[in-house]
Amino acid sequence: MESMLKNKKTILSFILPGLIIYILIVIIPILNTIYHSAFKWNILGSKNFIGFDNFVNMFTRDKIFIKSMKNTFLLMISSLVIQTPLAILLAVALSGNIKFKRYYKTVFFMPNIIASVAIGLLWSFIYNPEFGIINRLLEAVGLNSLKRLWLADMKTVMPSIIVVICWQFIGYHMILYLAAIENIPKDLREAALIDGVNSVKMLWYITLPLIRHMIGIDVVLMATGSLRFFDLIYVMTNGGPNHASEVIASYMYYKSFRDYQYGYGSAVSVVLLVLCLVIAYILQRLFRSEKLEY
Amino acid sequence: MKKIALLLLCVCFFAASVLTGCTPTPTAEGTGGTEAATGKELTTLKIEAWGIETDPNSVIIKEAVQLYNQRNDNVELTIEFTEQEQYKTKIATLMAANEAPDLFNTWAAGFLKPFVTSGKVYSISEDLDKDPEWKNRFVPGIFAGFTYDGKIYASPNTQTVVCLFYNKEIFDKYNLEVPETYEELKTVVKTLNDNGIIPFALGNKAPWVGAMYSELVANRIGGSEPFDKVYNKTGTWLDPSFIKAGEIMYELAQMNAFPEGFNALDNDPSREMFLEGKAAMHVMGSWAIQQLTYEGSPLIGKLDVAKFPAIEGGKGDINNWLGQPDQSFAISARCKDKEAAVKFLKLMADPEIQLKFAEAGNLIATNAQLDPAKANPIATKVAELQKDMNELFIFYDVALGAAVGNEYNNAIQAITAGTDPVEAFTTLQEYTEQNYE
Repeated sequence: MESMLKNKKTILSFILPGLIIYILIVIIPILNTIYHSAFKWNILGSKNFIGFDNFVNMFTRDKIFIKSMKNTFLLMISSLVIQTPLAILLAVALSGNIKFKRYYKTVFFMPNIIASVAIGLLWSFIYNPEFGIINRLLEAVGLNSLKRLWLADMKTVMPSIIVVICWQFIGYHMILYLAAIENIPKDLREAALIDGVNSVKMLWYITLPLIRHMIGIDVVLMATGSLRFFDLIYVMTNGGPNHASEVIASYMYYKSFRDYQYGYGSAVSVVLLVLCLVIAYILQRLFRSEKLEY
Repeated sequence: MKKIALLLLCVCFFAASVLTGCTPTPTAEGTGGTEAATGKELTTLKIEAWGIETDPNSVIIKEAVQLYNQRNDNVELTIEFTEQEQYKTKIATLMAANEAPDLFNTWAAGFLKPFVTSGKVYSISEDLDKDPEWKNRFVPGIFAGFTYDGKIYASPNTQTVVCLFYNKEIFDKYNLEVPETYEELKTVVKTLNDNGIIPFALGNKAPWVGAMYSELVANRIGGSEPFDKVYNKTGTWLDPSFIKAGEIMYELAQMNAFPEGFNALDNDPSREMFLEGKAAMHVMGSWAIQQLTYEGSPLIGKLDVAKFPAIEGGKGDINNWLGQPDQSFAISARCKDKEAAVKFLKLMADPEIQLKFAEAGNLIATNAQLDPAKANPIATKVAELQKDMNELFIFYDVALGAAVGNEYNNAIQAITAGTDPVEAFTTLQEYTEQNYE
């Protein structure tokens, strides 16, 4: 058995099926996209080779792309700043001895099970200026001046979407942290309690350092997830009004499949790929930690 | 590290493909399959059309297909309907994959243009010339939007024009006259607002709806010339007529001429407002006639229609209409039996089918005369108003194609939401220079 597994051919025969599928559906499309990004092409006509012109235009002249890039970073940073601390706090709260623990866990995790399209529709109703619950509520308590068009107003559309994204994903991140916290050996906490630490110090000196590796993983997940965010925006605003909620992924879709500028769309997706790789790399370096031993 | 390695690998591949000089591969052109043998063999032709299968117009088209199949033993037509927005993507994808259906529903000008220039569409010019009786059925000038390099590529069945629909009952109640100028329109808007009636039922969530207003206003101010110049790349969006039109759109929005939150409102609920008498006017394409005068519609007997008002000091004729030829069909270059396909186009243009379109409340593309008793009174009125038509100018987003057209609509929506018109049109101009071909 040992010797068989050392045989290169055997190894290859095990890896090959998976590798071929992976190459066919991941590597080749990526290379293909990179290739197309050097062309001006509307899918139908002939391809015109234009080198790096797509990229140059994107960064120097295309205001909508710059806008979508800003929105993407806004989305990523706000996700990190809002979701990480809240998810950790929720996880800490739920790891304690509280009533209805399982119930809360389910409730917080629930939005993650619902399909994004359903969530998009649900919140579109909530934000609806005519019959949506938010404007109705504001009306009921006499705060008419705070009523907004939410998703149709260029100023409020991004914050409105960010709220929905946080609502959708916070439960997921909470579960990750909860798992990490529950992995911390009980005796460490008990020892700390005997030494008389309060709950803030417990969180700061015991829990946080011991779930650092999980924070590192989670931050990368969250960052790359929000960089390529698409579905909620597509359902709720389609990037509108007037591109106010456009993100890189939705703009890529818009360019390729609404404007039929396929080469340009490919170039946008290449930028997205590079951004994801670079940011994931930076964040991983930032959170690099030694192997954890309790 | 693996990801970085992958990235490097990608870059190398990219560099390699650049260095070796990848020559663009010419797209394989549909050579238009072999003509089917005229024997007993059954040829099946596939038609792709937009719309919902139960739409009145879709039903008429389906009936035409059935009729065709009954009368022709050796050809069988099949038809498939797809919702409008999805249809646009679907047909583009099919064309790109060289799997175009034999016949397909199309729009004029910018929509069909890329397909024609890449050789995917069969020109019906010769067939039209061979059969003058068929060609002469059509109203004059209707083929303009389907003519590229002097050749005609599609045949329309109906026409769409944008009209000012209004609720007679409301106008009578407040002693209002249908506005013929912008100043009169503003007075009407004020009176209606004072009485708690929404002046215009506008749902501008999909921004093409509000863009129709602005296109009419711009044409009333500067005539058709400024847009024709943009279309031919000899002029810009910074023409005063466009900017003035933007200012008027903003002014109307500020005057509450549109429902509260109209930029978040869909088109369908806005039509409901008009149907229920909450709003007094509705600027919409003539396709809305069917939706406003269906059996049991609360507007029956109250609905009337007028020309869009003039703007004081404007150059544009009040008899310029915004619209397009509609329900048009084209034959793809790879169609298996073009003769049979042309035959279907002829059947569609036959009074037999055309009168059905007219009865359903469409303005038709041919001269077929409908018995006045059977005609939809509103459609008749529109046809009457249209008799003095000076010019039919086409929707901007149709004329300019998807890329620039969508951006124009977005610009108008942004202006109604408070963006400065000069700024919006400057951005649009930059975008047009980069993206318009």
